[in-house]
Amino acid sequence: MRIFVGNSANAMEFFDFDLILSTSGWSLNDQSEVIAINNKEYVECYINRNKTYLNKDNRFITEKDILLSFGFTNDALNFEFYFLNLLYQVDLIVLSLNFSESLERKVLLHIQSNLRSVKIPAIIINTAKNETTVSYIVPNYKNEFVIKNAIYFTLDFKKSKNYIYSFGKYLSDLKETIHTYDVKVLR
Amino acid sequence: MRTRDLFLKLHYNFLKKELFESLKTINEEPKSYNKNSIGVYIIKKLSSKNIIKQLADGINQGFYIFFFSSNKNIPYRKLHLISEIVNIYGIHLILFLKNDILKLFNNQVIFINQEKSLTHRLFSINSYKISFILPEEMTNPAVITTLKIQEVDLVFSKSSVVGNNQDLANNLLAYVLTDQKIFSPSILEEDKTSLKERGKIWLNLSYLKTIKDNYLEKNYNDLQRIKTKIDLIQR
Repeated sequence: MRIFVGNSANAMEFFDFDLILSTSGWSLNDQSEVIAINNKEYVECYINRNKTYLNKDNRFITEKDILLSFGFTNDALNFEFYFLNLLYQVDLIVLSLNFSESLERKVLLHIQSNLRSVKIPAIIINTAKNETTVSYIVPNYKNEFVIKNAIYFTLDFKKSKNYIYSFGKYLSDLKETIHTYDVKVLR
Repeated sequence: MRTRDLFLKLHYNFLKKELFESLKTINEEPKSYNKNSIGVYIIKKLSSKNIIKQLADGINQGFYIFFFSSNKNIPYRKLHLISEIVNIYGIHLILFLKNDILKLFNNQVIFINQEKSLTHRLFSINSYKISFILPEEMTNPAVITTLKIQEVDLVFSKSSVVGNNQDLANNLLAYVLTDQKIFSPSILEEDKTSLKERGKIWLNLSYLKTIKDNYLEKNYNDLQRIKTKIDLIQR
């Protein structure tokens, strides 16, 4: 799957994208089959010109057999979000964030740790003040990111084998913990 | 059983003076007490006289958690005696031994092993939550998620893998403590993390709380989805 991430104006010199993640608030029709325009708390998504909104309650889209999951500022540091993506066997996470420049560097380290624990790669779009930078992280133990703080990039994304986890006896611990949490909510 | 009791009685008699004197030195209010921090007092020597001295010293400074690590095991008799002493002072003593993790509190010696479920490992002090993790559990996403939902603030880890401990601290936005090192979440400024001097550790939680308040939000939808999914997984 060919992906473009960044300002749509930069996408014009390329062809044949399957997915455009626009950081500029607009994109041309027909540049790609799926166009996602990033906003603060939601993503405006056009799939063959049909418009839907992606937000924290509606996170998932599938394109070319690849399952994408969208996360936002309140999800970046939240491990539950990453665990959810693991359970859904998500192929690629897209994070649309608003962290200040000083926090961004440290938040990326947290995101990297979270991705390593679920073995899913992620595209990160961060807007600080009015400047947007994009990064791409694959889960490994090298202390570097594949792409960090770029203005735009293109990516040939290939689906990797999903990890099959066996959680062992700890699944029942988790069930129990989520259950007690349920009770708390109802009260 | 009888010889064992006799041994204990003799030992108590031997320690009585020490115990009473140390109890006298404990003030009603700790000298300094830091509400925004968890304190961990590192015990260096586990001889009974020494431990009495260190417990009184720690309690006076507001410590409730005492930590000792060794690559040896402790004989049962000695453990029994230490457990009795700890019970007098009402504190938590955590022991990292060659084969075991033990928690001594309230006249109980609790073994932390795989049999001990994550729910039963959790304990709290001043509403801060503390738990334990074993090396083989470090990379299990179900374990990490459970600890995350429990909102732990400090995890005692028996793993010596630096990368795994740091990842866990980041995953949980919590401190991870091994017998070698303190791992704090990357988001913290170095100077805002912890104070360590001569075996007395204070882990600052106020800045971490601010981060959690500003950038974390319980997503009930996600939790519900997780719940539905794991209910479908057959073991």
